Amino acid sequence: MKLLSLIYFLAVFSLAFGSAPASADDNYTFFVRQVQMPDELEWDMDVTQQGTDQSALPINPNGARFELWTVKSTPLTSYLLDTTYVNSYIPVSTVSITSGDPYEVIPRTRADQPFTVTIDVSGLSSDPSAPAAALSVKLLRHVQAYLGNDNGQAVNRGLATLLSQGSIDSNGRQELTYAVNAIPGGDRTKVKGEERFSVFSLADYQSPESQLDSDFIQIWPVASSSIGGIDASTLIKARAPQVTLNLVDLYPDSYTYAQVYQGPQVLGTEGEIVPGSALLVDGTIPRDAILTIEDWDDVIKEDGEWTLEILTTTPFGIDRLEHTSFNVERTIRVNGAITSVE
Amino acid sequence: MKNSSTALNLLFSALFGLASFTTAQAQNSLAGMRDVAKHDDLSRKLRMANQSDPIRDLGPPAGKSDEDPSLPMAERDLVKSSAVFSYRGYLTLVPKRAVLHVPPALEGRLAIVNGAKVQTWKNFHQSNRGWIRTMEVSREQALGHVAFSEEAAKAISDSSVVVVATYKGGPISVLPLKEEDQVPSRDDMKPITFQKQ
Repeated sequence: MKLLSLIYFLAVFSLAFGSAPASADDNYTFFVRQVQMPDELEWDMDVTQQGTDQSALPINPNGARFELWTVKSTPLTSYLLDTTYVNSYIPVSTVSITSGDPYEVIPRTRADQPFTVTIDVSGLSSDPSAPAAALSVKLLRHVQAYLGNDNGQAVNRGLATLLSQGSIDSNGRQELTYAVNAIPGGDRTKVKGEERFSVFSLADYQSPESQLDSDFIQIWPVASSSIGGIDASTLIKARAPQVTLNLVDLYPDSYTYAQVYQGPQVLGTEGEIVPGSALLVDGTIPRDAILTIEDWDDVIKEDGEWTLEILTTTPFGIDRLEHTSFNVERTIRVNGAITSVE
Repeated sequence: MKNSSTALNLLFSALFGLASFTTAQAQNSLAGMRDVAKHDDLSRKLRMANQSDPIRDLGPPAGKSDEDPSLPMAERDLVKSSAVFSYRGYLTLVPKRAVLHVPPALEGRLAIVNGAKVQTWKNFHQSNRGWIRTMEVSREQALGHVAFSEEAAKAISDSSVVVVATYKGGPISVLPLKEEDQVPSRDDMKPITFQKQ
């Protein structure tokens, strides 16, 4: 069996950090820096945007930390995409997070949705005389809100809150399911931010506690909306009024539209899409929009009570954001009498 | 009514081919429609979740638990921990201690120029061989365990161009020379080997 004096590392650069660095953007250049412990000797290896390579620098007995960076040209800014510490008896760990949204670039979900953290650990020793760092690893959970209009580009991860920590002392897979996020925020429907789960080695001779792997999930707010220009007191006798749809925090992968149907509101009723009311969002951050609807008489054909609803479809299903009923009475009734003069 | 709305949906989908899912799918899932989540429901969920955080169920953290080990890396900045060369609209980063010599005439190129496009070391060096010379060093020299020969040290200090230390072509920091009693033995510095999986 061939002995390798080098460590393989996998540099898959399709991941992005926060929403900032687009993966395949010419404005970003990637670097892998190997930091040798304990003196922190640093060595850079040339990397392409995607691939697997070997480090040519043998690892010191105290181990080495590999850092994957991307650097943006304007303004000159570096983003740490991933880091891992390797040593002879330090366990290996991977962390991944999944949710109901299959988006692959950055795990993401919505404030009302669950997510699952999967942690694989291998290389833990069963020898009780082995160093402590070979016997267990530490798991950390950080939460951090995106403040104001920020959507992760300007977040300072040094300010994240360490919410909980625990230990893993056996090899294998752990799956942790969270019914809902714990991002700080008053209105639980409107929290936005990220939850990070990291596995760290224990401090060892001349090496501090060091990250073995980490992953984070972005939490986006639940969409909300309001309907202007029409309400339960509205009686349409001629043309339908101009209606304004105020849409807030539409999920990055969503299709939102208004529909109408005859009768009072009943959840789950299929109606007819109001022309001009549909909006597709296919991006990396939530979106707000104000839609003005005019000339929508064609979809309210008969007199009686009608319901207008705003629906949004996301990878999590279809949600009704808002609804209002109104009345239509277009039939002209003439009260009169016919008489004749003889 | 359903036919016309489906037709509209299909038209919309055709117009916006980038959709991750189609409105036809949306129509199919109307039966599962729900009212949008409310704050009170989510607050209740969070209270319940806080009572049984799966991480805490794993057991108390080993080692230090009063310090956040992620903080040092959160504060790390590649630009700040690097030397930056800029020239003719391009720049690159190398570890700070990798720059062994900069003649006074070229000191201006060891600076950040706003708007310059970032290049990898390999690409930047290819275009700037005229004023950047590399010097391959051994791992022991980089660690400060072995000094440069007198000739090499003189060649570095007398150079009229920038000299960057490299190891197998990649820029490497060169640590200050250690005192003899601080240099580990060869056995102590034996590189770690890994079994190929």
